[in-house]
Amino acid sequence: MTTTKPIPAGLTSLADFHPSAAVEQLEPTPVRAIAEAHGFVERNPVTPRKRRKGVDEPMHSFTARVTVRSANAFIEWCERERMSYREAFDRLVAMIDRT
Amino acid sequence: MPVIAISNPKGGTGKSTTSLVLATTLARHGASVTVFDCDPNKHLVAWRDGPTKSTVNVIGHADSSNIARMLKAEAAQRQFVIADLEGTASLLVASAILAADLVIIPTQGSAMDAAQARRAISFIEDQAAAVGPKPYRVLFTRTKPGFATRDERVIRDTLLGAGVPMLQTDLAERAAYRSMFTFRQSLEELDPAAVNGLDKALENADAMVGEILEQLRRKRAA
Repeated sequence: MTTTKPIPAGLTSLADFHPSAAVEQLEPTPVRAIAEAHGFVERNPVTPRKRRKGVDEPMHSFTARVTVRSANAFIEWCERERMSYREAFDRLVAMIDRT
Repeated sequence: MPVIAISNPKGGTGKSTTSLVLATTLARHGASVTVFDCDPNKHLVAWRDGPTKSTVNVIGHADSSNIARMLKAEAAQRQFVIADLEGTASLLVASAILAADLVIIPTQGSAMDAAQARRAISFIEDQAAAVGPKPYRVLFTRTKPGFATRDERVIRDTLLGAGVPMLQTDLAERAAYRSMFTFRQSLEELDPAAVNGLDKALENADAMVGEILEQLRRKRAA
């Protein structure tokens, strides 16, 4: 629906408002000191991000005796791909389904 | 280009309603608009996820470390950028106010709202010494058209006596404004048969936005 009332003069054309030409380089301001003096404080403190991600499913541990050749290849692969042994093992298991 | 911050450190003063009415009214008149939803309740993000066909863009992720930069970057893309700020005195709020061209401070006719509005005003006035004056206007919200409570009259007179600049137009209490959030549409998309006083709400929205534009044009000309 559209309004049947006349449009106020200031709203008939907004063409005089346009995006700024470029993003200004923001000057550092003493915002924190002024803000804190008025009780405007950081409400969302920075929390440390944990790199290790947990899993939601049940876990199981087992020990396997493998050849040094296989162990070295496995460890080097994990280093190269920057993944944990668990993630590497999951990737290998995923290949079972594809074969 | 103008960045308009909607701020009152107290919650429930009508900041999100003001932001949404302002943004959708500007869009209805053909402007490109982005709203930053800095309220943890994310009412505007939820509105954007609804069936509305409005062109208003909503950004829901910003924090105190990047809000000023994000507002300026968006101002280079859109005609109007609006920041709906959280109802608390936080560093994010302070940073957004500093980055704004105009600050609108919604308040209801209650001493609690007005006290927190004064807090925002004190901050704006004190930071002027460091970074320059910042135009601001107090906006009365959820008022009853044609009727002012005694509290409201006293608060208005007190602010006026203290030289606090106020918008002449109030954002009145209208069912249509609540329906925008319920049906997640802009005013012009709502069904006039199902929403009472829709024409009055459109008229009120136009008047409020017209006055805000007048402030922005006046600042630009100064």
